[in-house]
Amino acid sequence: MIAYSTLLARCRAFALVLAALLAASPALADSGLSEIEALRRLERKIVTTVEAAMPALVFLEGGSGFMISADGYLLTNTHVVSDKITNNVVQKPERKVFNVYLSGGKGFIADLVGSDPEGDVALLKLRGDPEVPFLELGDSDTLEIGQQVIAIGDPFLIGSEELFIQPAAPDYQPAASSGIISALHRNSDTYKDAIQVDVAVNRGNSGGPLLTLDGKVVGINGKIETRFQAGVNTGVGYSIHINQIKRFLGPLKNAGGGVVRHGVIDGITLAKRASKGLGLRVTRVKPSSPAHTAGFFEGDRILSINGLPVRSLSRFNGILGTYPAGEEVLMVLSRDLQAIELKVVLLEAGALPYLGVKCDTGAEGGARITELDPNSPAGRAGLKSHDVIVLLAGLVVKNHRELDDYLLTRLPGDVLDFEILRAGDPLKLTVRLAGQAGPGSD
Amino acid sequence: MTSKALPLLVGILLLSPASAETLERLVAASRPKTVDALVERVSQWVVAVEVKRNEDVPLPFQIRGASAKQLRNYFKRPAGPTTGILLDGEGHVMTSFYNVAGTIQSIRVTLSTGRSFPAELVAKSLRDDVALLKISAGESLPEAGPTWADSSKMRTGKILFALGRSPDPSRLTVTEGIVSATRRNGGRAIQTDAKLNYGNAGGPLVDLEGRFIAMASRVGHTQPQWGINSGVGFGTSASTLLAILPGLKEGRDVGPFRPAFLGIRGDRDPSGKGAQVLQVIEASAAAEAGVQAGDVIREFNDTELYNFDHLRRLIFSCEANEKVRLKIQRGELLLEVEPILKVIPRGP
Repeated sequence: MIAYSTLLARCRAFALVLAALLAASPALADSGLSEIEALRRLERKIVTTVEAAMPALVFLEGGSGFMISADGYLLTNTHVVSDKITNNVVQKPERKVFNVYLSGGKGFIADLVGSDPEGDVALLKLRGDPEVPFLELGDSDTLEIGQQVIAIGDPFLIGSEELFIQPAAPDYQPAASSGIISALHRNSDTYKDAIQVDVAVNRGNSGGPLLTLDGKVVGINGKIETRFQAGVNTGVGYSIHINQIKRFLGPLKNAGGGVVRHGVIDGITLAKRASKGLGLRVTRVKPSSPAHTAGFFEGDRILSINGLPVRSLSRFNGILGTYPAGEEVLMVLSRDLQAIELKVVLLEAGALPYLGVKCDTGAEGGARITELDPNSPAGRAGLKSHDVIVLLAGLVVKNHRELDDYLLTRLPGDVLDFEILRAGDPLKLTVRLAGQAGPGSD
Repeated sequence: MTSKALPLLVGILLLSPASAETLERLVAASRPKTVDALVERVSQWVVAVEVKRNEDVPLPFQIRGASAKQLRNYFKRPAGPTTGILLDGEGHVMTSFYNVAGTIQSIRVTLSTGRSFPAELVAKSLRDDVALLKISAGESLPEAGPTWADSSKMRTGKILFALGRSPDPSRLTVTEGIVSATRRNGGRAIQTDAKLNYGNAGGPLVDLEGRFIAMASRVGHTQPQWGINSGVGFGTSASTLLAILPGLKEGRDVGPFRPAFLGIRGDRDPSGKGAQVLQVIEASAAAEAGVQAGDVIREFNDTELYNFDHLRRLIFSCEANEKVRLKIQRGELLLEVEPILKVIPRGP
């Protein structure tokens, strides 16, 4: 293992060499490169990369996509194949069959294999037994800010629709645009760990690949920041990184046209920021919760998830947001100054039961409802604010914590008998629990 | 150990263009000088065009709920000069027709030297958004003009620079981008991600060597906001311009493109082989050539068809009155017909 100080020294030496090289233009000349030759080389690289990638680009109705295997698997955004978006969350697609065209206009029928609405990724497969060009997937963990990247797609659907260009003829020629990586690990709605690029991507680019100069896919271009509903690129675009997508590929292939949910660790409360070098502190672990069962304790400090350092709550959510439910992650924690490893299986968001009430403990015991969501199972079953829950499935509820703990042992769909006191009078009600509300739930 | 490692490291940095990161750093280091040299080469023939107009073009479309005044403000082009290209010593200047559209009072062209002259509109092409102007100098002009790039060597991904003379005619603006697509507007224009704004219209897009690739134009801009710096801009290709300039110099205008019409409705299944004819429109080119519902068109001018959309694309790349050749399968029969395409009929 390299000691930290040595590593730093090496970095410094490297930086010095680089700085010397760049500061002195003569170095450039000495290298035999004329001023223009550096740009010519970049140009050759862009041209080669773009021309090699173009044939694997896919035109979908309303967006872009790209082939990832010779036998016809293709990736795109869920929002390209789904019409429904509520509260900035893409809903699962209703349609399952799509007309798609490869660069140049050769057409296919494609079936939806699986979708990840929260991550905005969908997997489709061409019908028949096609032999098609495809793109290789890269490694998005090695990306650096400032790195040159290329986006390919169908901005404004110029290549596939007839409205835009005078002769009214789709030419099925994709468009390439180039720029740099502006930032990494951006969080924007359900994009938990996005790559930010200044590459010109616009409506219609959605679902298209983001490539590095070696021609490999490092992301899917999914959304842009715009203002005043102008709907044009501002220089801020977000791509879903390919390592996240790779984790979902297996589950997507087995989804049978359905959805793949993201994984969560429920029952854990964390500090907002990590103290320097100490990791992110666990401030509370809900008793009997999945987090409790997984082995978390209050006061633990989370250092890393699958080798990626955790420095803040948003980064914690960012890393976890790139894994599907059912996946096991390795967490390194510091507990009592000892480093310990914890293997945690992520559960499906929405696998936890939802009743729809907030309670405190009543004056005479029981769980007194302080807030109630009228559209929740509790609201629909007729529970009201100020009701005091005293008996649940035959068990006495002494305080509101007991109610919470008991609920965590149940599943969505379970039917529970409640006995309550309303203004002192006893009343019996039956409630069917729902799945916890959240971006991942149906 | 460090002293031994250093020369090796330098060697790697300089000799291996395979490392993208190194290449990017070299590019960053060399860009200013490259651009300087390029600007030196081209600035003489990039000119400013200033227009005084009584009335601008009519509003392209209505927006529900917006007053006429709001709409005028929304669509109003910014004040100030735009850009043009000085072609020769006779004073021919080429620019985007959009720049001189509307009811014009006067046009003035300012050369790179700062001298400014009145100019007249010689002819225009609506199809390619080109206007040809002529300076009335009354004196000899410098023999300046672009070096034209070979359009057949146009490739997606090539680096280009957009040059403008706006807002200050005495100083060039330079924006960098790549060729995004090579065959827009029916193969007559290119698409670029270089940031083009109003003042760029009519200005040149040049390659790394300063050769003229295309003229920034507004072909295809059916919605105004798409002209705002979206990274989707267009330029009429040098080859298109070379082809139409002789006609424009003789004062012949070119109207808007009128797509050709065969007259069939087809099956939109993309995976079918050939174009399945569902219906033949009465009195159309297809009807006159004897095409029937149920036919499968296999080839169009010797191009094997993927599907109906493929056929439509090929028809739209033709002009009205063009004779085309179709290979048709009718049951077991293989037929060949040669319809003469007509003009697309107006909708109801």
